[in-house]
Amino acid sequence: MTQGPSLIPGLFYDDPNAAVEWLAKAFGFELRMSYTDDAGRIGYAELELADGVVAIRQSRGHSPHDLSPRGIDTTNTAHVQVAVHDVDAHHARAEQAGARVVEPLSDKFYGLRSYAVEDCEGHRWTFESHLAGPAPEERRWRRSEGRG
Amino acid sequence: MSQRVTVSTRVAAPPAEAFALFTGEIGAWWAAGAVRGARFHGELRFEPGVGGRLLKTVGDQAFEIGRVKGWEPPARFVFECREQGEPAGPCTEVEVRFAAAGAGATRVTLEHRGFEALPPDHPARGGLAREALLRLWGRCWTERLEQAKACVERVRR
Repeated sequence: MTQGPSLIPGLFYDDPNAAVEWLAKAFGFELRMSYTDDAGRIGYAELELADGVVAIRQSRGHSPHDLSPRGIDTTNTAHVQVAVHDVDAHHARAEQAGARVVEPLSDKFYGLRSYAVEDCEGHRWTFESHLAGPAPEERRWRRSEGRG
Repeated sequence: MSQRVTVSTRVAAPPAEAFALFTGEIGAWWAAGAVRGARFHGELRFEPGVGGRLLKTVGDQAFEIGRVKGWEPPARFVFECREQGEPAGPCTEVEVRFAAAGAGATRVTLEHRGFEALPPDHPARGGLAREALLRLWGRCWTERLEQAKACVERVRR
């Protein structure tokens, strides 16, 4: 039998329907699975991007402690990192959709180009691509250590 | 709106081909994701076109899963969905939609809906609360779509 990923992190949203729509528009996620009640409200959804999957859960659905950052001054207790093919294009798409970038797009010394962003309810995400070659810091470090 | 489960995936074939495989080879992907631990056996086939039947054959016994309610290749098909042993009367329905998604690829979205039509003691509920039932169907259809995706890739290789 075929199987999906063995790890699926879940995030709580006050409005899962709006979150599914927003995450598709701003971040390019595609629906993998969802179910709704009589009123069409999503109780649970899974979204995918390439081979990654994230679950969207109703805040306060099963426990009063399941909170969206929106209700707690955008306090985060988790951070999701996502590798994308073209982080510049992703960044442009997110900004276009009105996402709040909290760490600008830049090359990192550890060989990634990335930016951090808040979604529609204040969850923080990092999107990143591998740099084609070493970042300037890494090049300097390699030179100074006689490694390059 | 209605109580519904939606699952979606991308397959590496254009819509017309995906539609033909999803309908013509329904037994090959339906066998995945048996609910409630049931082992799937038998063969499945569609009688194409509105009013046709989705039939399950086990040995010399045939069972009608449901009637075809929509048949619009390559965009969508809809059928009633009963499990073996369920009474006539209200049942759920399944719609499968095919949308072109880039060169030679299709986004396939499956919607299983109408659970609110089933009375609380209906055998299709298996005694489960709404959310547990929908969650199980969600997993079942996810596995079936994964299987279908693998089928499409096998056939096209």
